[in-house]
Amino acid sequence: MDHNPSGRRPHYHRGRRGTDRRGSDRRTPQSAEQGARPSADQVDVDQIMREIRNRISQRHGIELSTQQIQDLAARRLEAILEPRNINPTLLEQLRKGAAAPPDPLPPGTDTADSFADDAIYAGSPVVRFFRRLFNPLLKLLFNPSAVVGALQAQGRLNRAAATRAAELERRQTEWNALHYQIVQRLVTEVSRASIEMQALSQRVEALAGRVDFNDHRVRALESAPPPARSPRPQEPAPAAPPAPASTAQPEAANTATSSAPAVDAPRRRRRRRRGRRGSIAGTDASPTAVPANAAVPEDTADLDEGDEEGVEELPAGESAAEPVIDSILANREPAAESNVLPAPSMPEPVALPSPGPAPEPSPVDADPERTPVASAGESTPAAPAQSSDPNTPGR
Amino acid sequence: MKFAFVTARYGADITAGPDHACRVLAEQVSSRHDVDVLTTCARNPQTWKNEYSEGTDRVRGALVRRFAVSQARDEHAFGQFSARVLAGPRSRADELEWLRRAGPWSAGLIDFIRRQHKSYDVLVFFSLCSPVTVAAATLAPERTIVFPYLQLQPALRFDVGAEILSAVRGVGLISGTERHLLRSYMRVTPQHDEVVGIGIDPSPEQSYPRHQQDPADVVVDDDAMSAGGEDDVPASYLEGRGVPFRRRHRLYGPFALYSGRVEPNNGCEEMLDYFDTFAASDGDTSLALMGVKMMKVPDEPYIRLAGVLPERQRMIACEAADVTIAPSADDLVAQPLLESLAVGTPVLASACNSAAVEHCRRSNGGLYYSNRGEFVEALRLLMTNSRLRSRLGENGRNYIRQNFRWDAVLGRFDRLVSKARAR
Repeated sequence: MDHNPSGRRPHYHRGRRGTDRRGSDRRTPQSAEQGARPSADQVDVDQIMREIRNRISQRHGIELSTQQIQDLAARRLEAILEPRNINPTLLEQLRKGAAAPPDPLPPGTDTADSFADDAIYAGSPVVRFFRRLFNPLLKLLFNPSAVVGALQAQGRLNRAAATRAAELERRQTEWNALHYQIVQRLVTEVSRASIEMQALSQRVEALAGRVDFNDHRVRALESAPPPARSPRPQEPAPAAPPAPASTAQPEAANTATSSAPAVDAPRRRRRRRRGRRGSIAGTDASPTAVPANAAVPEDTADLDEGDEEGVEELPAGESAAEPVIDSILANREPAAESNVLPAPSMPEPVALPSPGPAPEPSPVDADPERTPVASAGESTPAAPAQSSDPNTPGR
Repeated sequence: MKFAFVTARYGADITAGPDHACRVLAEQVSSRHDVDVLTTCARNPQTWKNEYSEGTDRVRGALVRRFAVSQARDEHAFGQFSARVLAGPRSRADELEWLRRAGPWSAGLIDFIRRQHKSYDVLVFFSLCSPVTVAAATLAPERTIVFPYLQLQPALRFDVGAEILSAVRGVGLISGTERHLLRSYMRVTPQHDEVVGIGIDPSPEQSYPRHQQDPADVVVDDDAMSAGGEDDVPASYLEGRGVPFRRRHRLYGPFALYSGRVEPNNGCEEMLDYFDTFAASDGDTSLALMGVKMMKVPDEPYIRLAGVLPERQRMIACEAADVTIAPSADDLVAQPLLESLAVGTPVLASACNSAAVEHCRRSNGGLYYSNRGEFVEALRLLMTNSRLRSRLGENGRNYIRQNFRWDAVLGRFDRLVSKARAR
């Protein structure tokens, strides 16, 4: 049974973005044949990671390879260690110690260094015989067992001390290797950081140059003579429909109406968006305000790259560009605003023929989604323009 | 054969570490052999408090015998003792005392092994840093296998660990990086060793419930609709897996998935921080966090919390994701990573986890990152290049199919056991 004969999206799918964006290649069920044969075009993860690291390095302005940085760091390390003041063999030992694993502990020497009880009687057989013979006499004079015990204790202490010394030496070797590695890595990182710093300082200089250039450009634009503006009505005439051009209308109206048919449908849609985004006034602009900005100069369009498109696409029936330009200039230099863009003189509204009743609101105005409330992420450049431009319709 | 698996903790809620590896291995081995799991009543490795009830229970085919922990861990005293032992010269007694204080010390468990070890054919110990392993692994070394779960930590320098690994008959490894530590760092050449790992069985081709196969549930592409393709409803779309997860969590755009406990120890803080940088440049990608939330997660529109899901659902989530992120730095088992590779989803792993990096390099199924820049670049590459994703995914599937299916893992385990039992 077909639950969806029309093929349209059900209501609970509204707002969904569609199917899986990964495509169908990954979604095909796996088969045994696929698993058995190796993939035709292999990827190398190490190669990909190298490329990623290279890309990061290039973006940071580092064009040296890792090996080059390590060579540079090795030279710096030698400069830090000052080979003239340090024994070169010591440096070599440190390098070897860092590279080689630590030596294991020497085996115990219990039997070799042990002190036997009859060791004090050792000697040639004749001497040993006489020593044995006079041993009772010797024991009358002093106690040799205590001497033997003391010597044995001393031997044990010596062995423990040797073990401890070996352990300490091993540990010291490990510590030396560790310190050497730490210093080496620190120097490498310092070298890397200094290279990055140089690259960043060059980038800062480049950006500062661009800022200066932009400042000069803004100053040049500010010092330029204000563009000639045609007058436009102070109050829109809501009752006037967009009438066709007539010979009785002023020249401005002729200009506006003659340019209106040249605009195609997509342009009109963009105009509406632009007008909604540009200013609140755009939504309130009545068709009767058409002649007002018909003479907006095209040369102001290169004021800012971001607004170039909007200014070039200035609609014939909206006045959104003026607040945009005003807002930019107001942000640049609010004090000089009156000199830069003087408020145009307010002519009397053009007397348009009013053939019929007031027109219905346009779909743009009627659409609740197109209410002139900017979303949170949307820039609202019209806000300062409203305060600076008293001609903004709607005020 | 009768096996005794000895581990410090045992439970379904333990999803990482040697205890997790023990559980999944014991459950699989119990289908072929008689398996007793000898463990403690502890659940939390920080306190080692007795939280499970003492006694015997059968869990998924394995007979679990729990013994009470004799001595809870005093964190302060252990810290002081640890600083003294690890920093200065130490004796064997110091090392044993350190391990005993690190816990869990269970006199009953050790006594049971001492009395009953002859009734088992093979004793399998997990974690070298467990006092139970140190105390009982040498009781019958000719029938003992140790899974040491080696990580680069100060306790790895203890001589007692090297002695045990040299004495026992076999050493099982979870990851290939352990072998490097074993031979290069500890300088131990075991009698027999084998990289066993854990197995992953990708979920079989499944048909979703009837109501989800309803044609009315088909999500139609906007472009297809606008192109007048009312008949172009992709017929194979429902065959693709991962759809329920996307639908349930309203993830209709590209998204990356993290699977595991959401806690700082698993590298989640770093991952969220890095992803925030990525999301600043690519606001279309979401990050789904699947697991218990143990830390504060920033309230960002691109973060989705998927909660705790059973294993089957986890696999479906991995299938649905474009990329799986594995930020954990010390998880040798790396089960989320393996699960993701098994279903053909490429992985972005932390380079601090040598086991994860090894999986990525051997499989050519994922990338890894060691800093923010690499994370952002690698994730951007993976999210934008579907061809690369599909290749990595295929490589990952092949890698898991060849190395980490349960039959392969159990084959390696059996080989290790047979080597250990050979006279």
